[in-house]
Amino acid sequence: MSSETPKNLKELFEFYYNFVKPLYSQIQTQNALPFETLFELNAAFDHISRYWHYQEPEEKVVDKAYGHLKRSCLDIFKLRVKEARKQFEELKKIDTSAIDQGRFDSDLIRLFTDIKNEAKVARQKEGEYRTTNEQEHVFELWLPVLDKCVTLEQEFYGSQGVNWAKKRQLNMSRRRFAISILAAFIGGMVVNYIFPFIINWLIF
Amino acid sequence: MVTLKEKSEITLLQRFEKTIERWSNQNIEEIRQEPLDKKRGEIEKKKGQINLISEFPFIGRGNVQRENIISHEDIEKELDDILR
Repeated sequence: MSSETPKNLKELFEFYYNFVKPLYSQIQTQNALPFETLFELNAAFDHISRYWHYQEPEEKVVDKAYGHLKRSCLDIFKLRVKEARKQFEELKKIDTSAIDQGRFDSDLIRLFTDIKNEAKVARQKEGEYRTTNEQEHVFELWLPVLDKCVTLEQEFYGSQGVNWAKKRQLNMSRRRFAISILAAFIGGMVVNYIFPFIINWLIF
Repeated sequence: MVTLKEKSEITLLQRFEKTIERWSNQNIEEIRQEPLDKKRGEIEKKKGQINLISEFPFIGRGNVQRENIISHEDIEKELDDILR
């Protein structure tokens, strides 16, 4: 597959099968499908149709359709970063300091920092002047970001160690709750029965 | 982790395919060959109707009425009422 921007319908559909469909298919499985993504695909379809219906030049419709398909891919990369941030925030609420002798936390923070920094660069570069290798240029920047987001999800968010830490945290908070109930009960008993007894004994 | 030497030998597409396979736990060619409506049907069987959400302004443009999305069934029901 050519790494250059598609020039004809065949190349456009190669791009669709190589990049767009796998990304769309995966975003669909998350059961939260942004309709902004659907609109980009619909817009691409409409441009393609104009080749036959209005006899618009192939290069023109391909260029327009490619813009929409590329946009849908870039949007999915960004949504993945958003999801990674959500997962990172959730992990911050769990005490994971005991996992992997503390390396889990430092690795997680390093990974998420890399995701943020690389996504910033990728986003800035998106608007730069189009070259013949524009597709590779933009995707080359976003692909490592996507890869790191997948790593965060699979090796951190979904790790066995996190499940263990969640259960441990839950057990500790249940224990604290039970102790506070017991302490409140004992305190109540002391106030209601023992103090009056002592006071009565002191007075009389 | 891909080294610089490996990176130059492996194309962008190949690296992309590896990432998608890792993300989806599925072979890339299976993903490409499966029709999207069939995939959606399988997801809906397991998880119920696919939720359409708006991610504006994170992505997308502003000239869309997000609140007025209705389903096939709602459209058919409205039409039934009109044609009664």
